[in-house]
Amino acid sequence: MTDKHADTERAIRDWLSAEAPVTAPASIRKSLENAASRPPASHGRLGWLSAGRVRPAFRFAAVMALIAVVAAGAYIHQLDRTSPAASQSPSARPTALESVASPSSSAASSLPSGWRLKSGAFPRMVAPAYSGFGQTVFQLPGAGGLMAFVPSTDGVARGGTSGIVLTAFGTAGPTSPASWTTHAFSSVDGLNWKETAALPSDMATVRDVTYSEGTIVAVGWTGVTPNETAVAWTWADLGPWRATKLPAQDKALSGAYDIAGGPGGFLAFGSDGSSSRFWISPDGIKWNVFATPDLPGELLIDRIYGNGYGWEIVGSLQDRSATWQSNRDGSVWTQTWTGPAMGSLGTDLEGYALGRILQAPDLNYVSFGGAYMAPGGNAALPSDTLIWTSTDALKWTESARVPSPGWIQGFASTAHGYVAAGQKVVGLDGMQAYGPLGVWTSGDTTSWTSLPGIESMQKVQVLSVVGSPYQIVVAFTDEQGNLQLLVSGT
Amino acid sequence: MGETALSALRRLRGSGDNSATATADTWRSDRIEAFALLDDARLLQSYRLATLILRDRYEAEDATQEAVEKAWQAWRTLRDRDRFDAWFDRILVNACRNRLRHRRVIRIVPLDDAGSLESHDSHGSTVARLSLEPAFSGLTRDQRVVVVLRFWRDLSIEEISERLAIPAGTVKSRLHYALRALQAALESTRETNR
Repeated sequence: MTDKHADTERAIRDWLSAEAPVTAPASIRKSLENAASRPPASHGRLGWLSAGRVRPAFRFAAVMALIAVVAAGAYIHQLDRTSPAASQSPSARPTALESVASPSSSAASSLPSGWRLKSGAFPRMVAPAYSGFGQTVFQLPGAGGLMAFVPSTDGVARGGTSGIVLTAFGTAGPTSPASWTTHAFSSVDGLNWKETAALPSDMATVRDVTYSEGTIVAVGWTGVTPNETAVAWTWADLGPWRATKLPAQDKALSGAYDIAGGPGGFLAFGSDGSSSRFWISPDGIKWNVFATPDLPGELLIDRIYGNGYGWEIVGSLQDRSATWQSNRDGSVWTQTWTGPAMGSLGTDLEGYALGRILQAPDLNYVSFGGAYMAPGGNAALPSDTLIWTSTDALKWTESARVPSPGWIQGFASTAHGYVAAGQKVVGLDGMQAYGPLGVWTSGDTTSWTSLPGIESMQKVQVLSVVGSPYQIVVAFTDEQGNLQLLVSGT
Repeated sequence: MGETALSALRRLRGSGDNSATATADTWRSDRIEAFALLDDARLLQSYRLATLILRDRYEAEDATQEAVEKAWQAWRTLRDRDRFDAWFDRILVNACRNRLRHRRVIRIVPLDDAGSLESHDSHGSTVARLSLEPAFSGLTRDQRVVVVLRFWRDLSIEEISERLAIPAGTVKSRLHYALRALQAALESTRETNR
């Protein structure tokens, strides 16, 4: 090293050392205490809207709200932030939040406090052939944040040398196009969305997304039935998405449905021809087919979860739900639980399934499962909801069975309660329920209250219900493919 | 660690459901034990790191709080408990980078006292302070991060690479350009003051 370089480095070290504060605010210690001592589940209504302390994510959302207000041309000359204490006061920020949440439709004006309608932020969606609309908004595990993947013909060259001919929208609604671009968006608060580079693959369908160690990995497939190819897309450091075909024996039909990060990297699950298939990757880029000889051949996999010990599978055997846990590298799998066999709890022809695993406010686990009807059974529609509870997410106990408040598309949890979304059942068209958008909240998993102010949202399809400790996002689309979000907790 | 924090952690540790499986107990216990590493000294170090990167104490406070809560929520993503420090550093640095990403817009809202940092410098030269402050502010967010991790945290290139999940070559490149800018600023100020 030259003397000049040494002098520069010494000057930088001295300067940094002198600039570092000598004490830390007590609020930082307090934030750890608050995180560590989050109270058990309340039996009242959802309480995070009136929480006394505004968490950092909430504060960041307020900053994002300010950005939106400024971008909209509002004049904000000064933010009243004379001290950290003042900035933590919930009353210090509602003006900005209210501004960003300006109702974009008449329906939103009657939404209860704390709920916002976000519309117009995304290109109009198309429904990929044979797939229909799928989950669109995903909550990233761990570091948090949201990703949205929106298949759209916006941005796709129409005609041109490729000879692509698009069938876009007719007056009756979206049809299946011959090609589309999948636009990707990220958000920290569900209200402010930033478009990233689009997925590089033509006709990309995303089925699951995860986050680990600074890398976001999405899985799905490209193409349409009967020519689909399983693909993983990775994104890190704000660069472009990188697409990797997952190795498959069947060159014509493969797809990935689920992915989870664990101690051994990323594990994805999907199909390869008529067989199920696991793939494993250390970094989301290099993928190998992964054999799981410990798992029974009859197993139908619903979800994969990553945890501190490896991966967990929630699936079902012929007549019951079950869970398996792997070691760190996925080489050994052990069955950890089986649920009641079909017919053992209710009518003979009912089955009982686990749903998505949610973290309860008390840091235990909850799953809203279904009591589904086997062929010939007489279970009512919409089916009952089984509430399963667990302390470890591996072994489950049925704690209650309650009538579903509607035709539920999904459940999510926050630090203070639960949200379900789907359709209010007005009637049945054959086996298909129809009715307006329905959103329900609960503090205890069993008593549900319908969210008012959304009755006018008819003919919508709920695509995603996701939650974090601080927010809920319900994504739905109308018949024309216009994606809208109901956001709570920001 | 303050008594209140210890009490909260002990209360949590003691509140485990006795009927829970060993797995559940282990998960909870591991998290609580690991977060006990976040004592006052470690939190101060984190806050100092955030302050140096962000050059704004209030934002540093927010970023550190955000990192603490995210780390608590993201506990399961920690693959090796022995790497808790590096793991937490990464969450904190990412929180800082996110704030820097939005700062251009945030800056149009004047904050009366946010930009001012008290200096406890007793031997850093006026030249260095005059030149390094604006030059550092002119660095990209990624350059700032590597400069602070290298010259204040005294991490090696490999350690920075691990914390930021970027190749060592990228760390070197960012450091090179950052140092070149800071050195030019130092020399320019020295020339002016001669």
